[in-house]
Amino acid sequence: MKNTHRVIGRSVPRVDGHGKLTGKAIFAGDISLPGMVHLAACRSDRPHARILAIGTAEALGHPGVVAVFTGADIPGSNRIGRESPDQQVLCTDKVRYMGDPVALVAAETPEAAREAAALIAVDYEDLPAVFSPEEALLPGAPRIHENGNVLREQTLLKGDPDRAMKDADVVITNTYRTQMVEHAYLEPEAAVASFESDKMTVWVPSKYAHFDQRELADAIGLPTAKVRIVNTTVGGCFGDKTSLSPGYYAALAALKTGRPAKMVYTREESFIATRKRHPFIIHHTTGATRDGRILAVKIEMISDTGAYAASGPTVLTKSMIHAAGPYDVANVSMKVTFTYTNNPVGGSMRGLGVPQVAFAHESQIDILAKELGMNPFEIRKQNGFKPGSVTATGQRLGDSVSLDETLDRVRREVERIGTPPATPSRKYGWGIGAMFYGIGAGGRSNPAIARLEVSDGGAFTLYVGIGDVGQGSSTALVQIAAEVLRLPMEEIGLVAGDTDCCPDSGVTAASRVTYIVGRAVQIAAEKLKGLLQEAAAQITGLPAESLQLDGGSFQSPEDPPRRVSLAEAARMLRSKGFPLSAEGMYDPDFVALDPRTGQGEPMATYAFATQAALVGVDTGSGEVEVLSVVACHDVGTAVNPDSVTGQIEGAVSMGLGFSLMEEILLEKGRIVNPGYSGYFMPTVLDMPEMVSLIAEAPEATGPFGAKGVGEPALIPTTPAIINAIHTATGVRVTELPASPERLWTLLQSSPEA
Amino acid sequence: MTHDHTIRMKVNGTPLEVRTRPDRTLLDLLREEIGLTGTKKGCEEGECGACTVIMDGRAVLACLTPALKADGAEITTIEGLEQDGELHPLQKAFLDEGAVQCGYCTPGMILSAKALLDVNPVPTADQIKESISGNLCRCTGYTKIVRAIQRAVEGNR
Repeated sequence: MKNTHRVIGRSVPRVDGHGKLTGKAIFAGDISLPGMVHLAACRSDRPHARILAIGTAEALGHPGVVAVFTGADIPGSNRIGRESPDQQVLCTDKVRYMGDPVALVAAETPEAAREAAALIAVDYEDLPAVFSPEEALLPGAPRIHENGNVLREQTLLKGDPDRAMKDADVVITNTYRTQMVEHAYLEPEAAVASFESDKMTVWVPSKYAHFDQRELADAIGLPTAKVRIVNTTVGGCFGDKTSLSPGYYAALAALKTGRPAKMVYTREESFIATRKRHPFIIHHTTGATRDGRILAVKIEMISDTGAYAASGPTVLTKSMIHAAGPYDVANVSMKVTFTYTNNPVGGSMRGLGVPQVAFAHESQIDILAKELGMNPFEIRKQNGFKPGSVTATGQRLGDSVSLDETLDRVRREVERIGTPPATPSRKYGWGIGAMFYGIGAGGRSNPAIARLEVSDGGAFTLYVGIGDVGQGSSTALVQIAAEVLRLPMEEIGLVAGDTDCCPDSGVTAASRVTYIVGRAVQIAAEKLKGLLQEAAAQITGLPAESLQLDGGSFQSPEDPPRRVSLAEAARMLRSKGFPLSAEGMYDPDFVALDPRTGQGEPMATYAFATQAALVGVDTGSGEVEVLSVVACHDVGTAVNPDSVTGQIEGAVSMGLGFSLMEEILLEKGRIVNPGYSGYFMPTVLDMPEMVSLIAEAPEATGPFGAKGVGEPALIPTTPAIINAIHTATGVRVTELPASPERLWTLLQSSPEA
Repeated sequence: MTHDHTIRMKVNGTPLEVRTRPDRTLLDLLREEIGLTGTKKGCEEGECGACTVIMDGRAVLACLTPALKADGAEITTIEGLEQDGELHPLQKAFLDEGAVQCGYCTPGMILSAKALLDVNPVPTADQIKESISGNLCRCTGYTKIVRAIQRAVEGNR
C-alpha cells in the first residue's frame, strides 16, 4: 500500500533532537537549586544480615554534614515494590543484598556527603546467605523473606506433551544458562527535590512518573496530590529507572531539612544499587518428526530474582509466554520458578526474560535443523507462526503476523552477502534467530490516557504521562497527533511526564508506548478533531462530514472552498461552552492466563522478527568478531523508520554484548566489576555491518497499524550469534556469555575444531 | 593546600577567570563553576567518554583532566558549536541521520568527532571509528553515529 500519510512512515527528525545536540537538554544531574543539600547513601556491605544498630554520630560530626537519616526517620510506609512491596527505602531490621540502603547523609557538598556516609557505623549480625536459585530451593535453606525463598512458581500445559514426545522421531534436550547483566545506560541515576508550600516537586528521569508519584508519596509519607514528579530528560533506561530512584531520597531529605536536595549516583553505585537482568537456567526438550515438524516442547526454568520481588513476577510471566518460541507447537508444558537469593535485585530489562528464553528455543531449533540436515530458515518457516497460528498459551494469532516475510528477506540478504572462506586460524559462519514478542503487559490491563488541547488561537498541545527514554516515543506520539490533525509537527507542542498536568499514560515498558499510548493519542486527536469539525459545520452551516481538514483549516467541497481555520473552530467551541480538549484512552484486550495451565490471551498483538549474524571465530584465542547482522522486524507500521532502525541497531549492540562479553560477576553477593572498566560493553569497534529491514503487517488495533520494536529488536541477536559460532566451529555454546575464555575451552575439546 | 586557584581560560571563545579548588576536575569546573552542563558525567574514570571536550585542539576527557591543567587553555564544549542559531554541520548531520537517542553520549561523541575533523577533514571510516572508540553509547549501536560523521565529512569534500 502506498503511504498517503504526511508524517506517519517518514523519518522526521526527533522533536527532542535540538536540545540534546546543543547541550540544552536538562538531565536531572544538571539541575542546581539555591541552597540545596547533596545526598549520599550508606549501603549494606553484607549480603544478608540483621541490623542491630546504626551509629550516626561520627557522620553527623563530619564537616559539612547537615543531617543523617535512617528508616526510623521516614514518616511514611518506607515500603516500595510495584508488584510486591517487600523492599524498604532505608532498611530498618535486615539487609538482603550488598547495596541495600541503610542510611542517608545530607551535606553541603557531594564529597562531604560521601565521606560521611562512609563513617556510618552499622552493627550487623550476619545471617547465612544464599547465592544461587538452586541453593535457595534446598530444604533448610536460609529464608530470605518470611514467606520463604520462592517468589513465584507458574506452570503451563497445552495438549499432551508426554504422549507427543513418545511419538517424536528426534528428541533434543539441553540446559542453557544466562548471566546477570547491567542496563548500563550512560546517565547514572539522579534526582533533585524541593519542598515548598507543602508541595514536593521531584525532578527525576523516570519511566513511569505517575507510579513514582504514588509510590514515593506512600513510602515517604505525603499525600499523593502533594507530590509532583517532573520527568527530566532520560539518559537511557532499558527497563530500569523507576521505583526507589534517588528521587525518593531527595524527597525525604527535602521534607526533613526544608532545603532542596540533590542526589546523583556514582557509576559504581549505579551498578551496585540498581536492578539487573535475571539470570536463567533453562532445561529445554524438543520433540520433532523426522521431517522437521515440532510435536512437543517441555521446558523447566529457574531464575534468580535476587533479594526482592521488583518486577520478577512479570519477567516470569513473559518468559513463560514466549519460551516455546514463534512456533506453532500443539503440545507444550512448562514450569517456571523464580527464587529469592542474596544477590542483586532482578528487575525489568529490555525483553523481560525473553532474550534469555530465545537463546534456548533458537538454539534448540538450530540443533534440530542440523541433526535433521535441514536448512535453518526452512525449519523455522515450517513451524513458524502464520496468521491464525496458536501460541503456547493457546492464543490464536490475528492477521498481523509477518514472521515468514522476515525469514525470507533475511535469507536473501544472507545469500547476497555470502560467507568468507575459512583460514587456518579463522572460521566463519552464519547463524539465525527468530522471535515473537507480545506488545504490552502480559495478561493484565495496561491502559494509557493521553490528552490533546487546543488554545483559542489554534495552538495544539499534547499531554502524555510518559517521557521519552531515548527511544523516540515523544517524536512518534507527536507524529500520530500531527497525522490526525493534518498539521506540521512543529504546530503541536508536547508536555510529557509531569504528573501535575499530564494524564497517566502507564509505564514506558513492554514496547507498549507507540502501540498503546500512540493509540490513546490517536483517539484523543480524533475526538478533538471531531469537536472542531462540528464547530466548523456550525460556522458554515454545512454537514460536518462534508468538511475536509487540511493545512490548518476545514474546507468545504465547493470550488473555491469555504475555509474555517482551526482557531475559528476552537473559538466557536469555546463560545458554546465546550472544553477545548479531548482525552483518549486505550487498553488492549486480553484474557488473563490460567494460573495452572498458563492458557490465555495475554497480549492483543505480537511483533515478529528474524536476525542473522555472520561471525569470524579466531580458533586460537576463542575470540569472536561479529562481521554482519541482518535484521528484519515486523513492526506493524513503522511510524518513524529511522527510529525503528535506530532501535534495531542499538538492540543489536546490546545483544552482541549479552552474547559475547557482558556479565555481572558476583562473589558471594558482591559485584566484582561495578563499573565500565570491568564490565565490558560493545564499542563502535565491536559493531558489525548492519542491514536493518522493516516488514510491515499493519495491526488493526494499533495507531495507523503500528505495533512495537524496542524490546523485540534485542531478542534474536544472541541466538543468531551463538548459532553462527556453531556453524563456524561446530561448537555449541549453552552458557552465556561466549567469552573468549569459555569458547577457547570448548574449542579445545571439540573434535571438529 | 585547599586554597582556591585562579584559572584563566577561553571557553567557547569567551575569556573566563574562575576561582577553583586545586583538586577539581575540568569536568566539575565546567559543570559547576561555569554552569556548562552540556558536558556529561558518566563514569568519572575515563571509561565512557561522555565528558569529552576539546582542549587546545585535542579531545580530552574532562573527568580525568585536573582543572589546573586548563589554565591558559582554549576549551570547546558542546554549547560552543551552534553559531548564530545555526547548528554545526556535525550537529545537523546527527539530527538528520537519527544518530541521537537518549542524548547522554551525544555531546562527547560530537566533540570527539569534531576534534578529528578539525585536523583531518576527510577521514576514512576506520579513522572515524577510532575517533569515537572511547565514547560509549548504549542506545544507538553506533551505526547512525558513524553515518552522521560521514555525512558531515561529505560536506568537507
